[in-house]
Amino acid sequence: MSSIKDEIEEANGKAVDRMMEAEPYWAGVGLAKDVIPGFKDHMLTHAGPPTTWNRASGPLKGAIIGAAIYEGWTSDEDEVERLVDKGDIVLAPNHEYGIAGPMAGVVSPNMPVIVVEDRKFGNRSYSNLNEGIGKVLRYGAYDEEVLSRLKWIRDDLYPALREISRRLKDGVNLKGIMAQALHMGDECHNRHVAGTVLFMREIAPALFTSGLDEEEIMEVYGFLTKNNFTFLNFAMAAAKAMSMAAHDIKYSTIVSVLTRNGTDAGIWVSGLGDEWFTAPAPVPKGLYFPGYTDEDANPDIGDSAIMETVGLGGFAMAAAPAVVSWVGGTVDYAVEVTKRTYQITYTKNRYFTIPYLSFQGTPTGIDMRKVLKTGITPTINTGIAHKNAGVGQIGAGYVTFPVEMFKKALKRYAEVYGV
Amino acid sequence: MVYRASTLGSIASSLLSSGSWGTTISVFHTTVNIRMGGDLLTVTSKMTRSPLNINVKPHDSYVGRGLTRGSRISFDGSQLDMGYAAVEIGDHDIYENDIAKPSRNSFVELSGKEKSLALALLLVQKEGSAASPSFPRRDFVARLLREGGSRTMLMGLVGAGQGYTPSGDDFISGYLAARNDLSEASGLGSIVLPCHEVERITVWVSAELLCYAQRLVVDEVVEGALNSISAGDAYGLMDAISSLAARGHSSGVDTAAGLLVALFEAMDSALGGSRAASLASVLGL
Repeated sequence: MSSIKDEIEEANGKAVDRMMEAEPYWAGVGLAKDVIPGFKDHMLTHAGPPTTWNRASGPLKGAIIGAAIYEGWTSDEDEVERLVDKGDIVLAPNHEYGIAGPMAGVVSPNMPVIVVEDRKFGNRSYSNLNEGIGKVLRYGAYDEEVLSRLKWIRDDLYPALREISRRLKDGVNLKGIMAQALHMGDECHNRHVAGTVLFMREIAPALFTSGLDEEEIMEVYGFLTKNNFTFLNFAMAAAKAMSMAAHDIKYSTIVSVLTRNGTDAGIWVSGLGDEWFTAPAPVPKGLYFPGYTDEDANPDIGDSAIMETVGLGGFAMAAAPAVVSWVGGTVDYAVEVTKRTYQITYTKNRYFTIPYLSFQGTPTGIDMRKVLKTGITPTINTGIAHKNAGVGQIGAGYVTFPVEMFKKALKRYAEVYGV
Repeated sequence: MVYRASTLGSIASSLLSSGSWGTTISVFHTTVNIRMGGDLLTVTSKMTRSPLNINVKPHDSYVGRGLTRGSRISFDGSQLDMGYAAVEIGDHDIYENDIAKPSRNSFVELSGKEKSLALALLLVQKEGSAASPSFPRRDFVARLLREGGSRTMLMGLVGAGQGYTPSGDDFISGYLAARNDLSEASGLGSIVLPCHEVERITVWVSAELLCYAQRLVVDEVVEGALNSISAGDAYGLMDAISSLAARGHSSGVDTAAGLLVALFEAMDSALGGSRAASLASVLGL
């Protein structure tokens, strides 16, 4: 009879193997209410662990207000709080619906979402479409400019992407793009310059032969190519699919969700199912846009740490020296973060490799046991949102997760399996 | 660089009031161990408090800068002069241990949660730690688990294993802190090792820590573990185990293992059963 230690090792091997072997492809787009199982009317999903209006951070409140107005549920921003309190708007975490959304990550029923299909294990995952940087819904802004852009995304970009995806019968291999982007200076969380170009290379022929009129084609092409974060949401949906493959494996101590909602940070541990383990979200340190300082920063927010969960982003920063010009720090620090992270991960990735480290695989599969044994918690890079609703992005930087949520997970794990 | 003392341990405070100089015994990035008047005084920028510590701010700063083993440290009544750095004592909190008295009921409350506690320890076990199969004197630990602790058996573990404070010493510190705290409730009686002999076998700082621990002078995390045991709070004890896990090379898990072994032995004595022997199996000993 094998010991529990053996069971854990076997489960972790299986979880991380499935994470690496998942084959996420871009399979299409659709409205959230139509394509995401269980997505209800008057429901808004959001980044991070569960929350309430009272606990929600400024940027999350801003995104909720914006999404409610976008859906036409109200035109009065002050009414949104009442609707949420009454249960006329239901809040739920993205991860519980297979979604990963950057920053506030709010998804509403009539928002178009990216559909990613894991061709190896059959999971489906979703993300919203990237709006660009600065004053955008995901950072809590919701003025007319933001809402107009969201409507353009729904009315113009979404039909174009739907047509493109129809023409790309084989879909787009997102893992392949991420692996190649790492060799071109991206780390696939805060730098998607290469990923976006590689993705556009895949879809451009379908866009140009889509039958849309020339002006529309150029508008869509311009929007997608001018935004260096276009690929982020595709990558996040892909990473979510990879993490889903590693999730819910009995005995596994591998972290399958790492996320935050601007108030709390939270994790899922594979062997503990969909139970949240949370701690207060830390405030990032980094570089600020002109006119802003760390006094303006909100605690960290977003599902984008799904990238680190599968071995990318902050964990792969040694592959992306140029990212320090966006998130701060030095190239040496970027390399140090990658090297340090090997101490808390299960293995080196088979597919995501770092040229500068002699093509070693990126650190992959956070093992909660190793986090507790070393006291090293995951460091990720991240965007920084203003703490007040309605402002938007004010910078980018780094954040290191609190150990408390790992401690809570250990206690629960011991309770569940120590019988 | 001038540091500010945020907390003074009760013993550290007495040492400063009676001594004016000391010598560094070991220097780490965030911790400096000083021998002052034959006693241990620790200056640390870590946050964990202990009766032996002077905790300084800013936290996690490089208090060992410019010091080597044997550096002279002097105290002028208000400031500790540490080479390139100084620690202003000024306004500070005093920390002293406050350890609740356990009872038989503590064991009853914990009964049924032994497997969870054992698993929590197993999850954070490290290669070479005292309760791991790769510990050089694993046979001593295995025997202790099966037969119960004795002074002779514990002396056989002093100085054994790796780390600045050897794994065996850390294990004994945890074991004796719990054993002696639980001695009345368990009926097992306490064990006190002869400090002059311990000092002869192991490094001085480690011997000092061990000798304080057996007298229930411990840091706040170990104190939390002992109080969780008294309160019959298995989650509190698991919390302490997870907090200890990252300490040192394996110091924290060794201490946690000692605590748990002593607890299981005490529970066996008070309630009957073979928890300690079962723990040996879980740990692969």
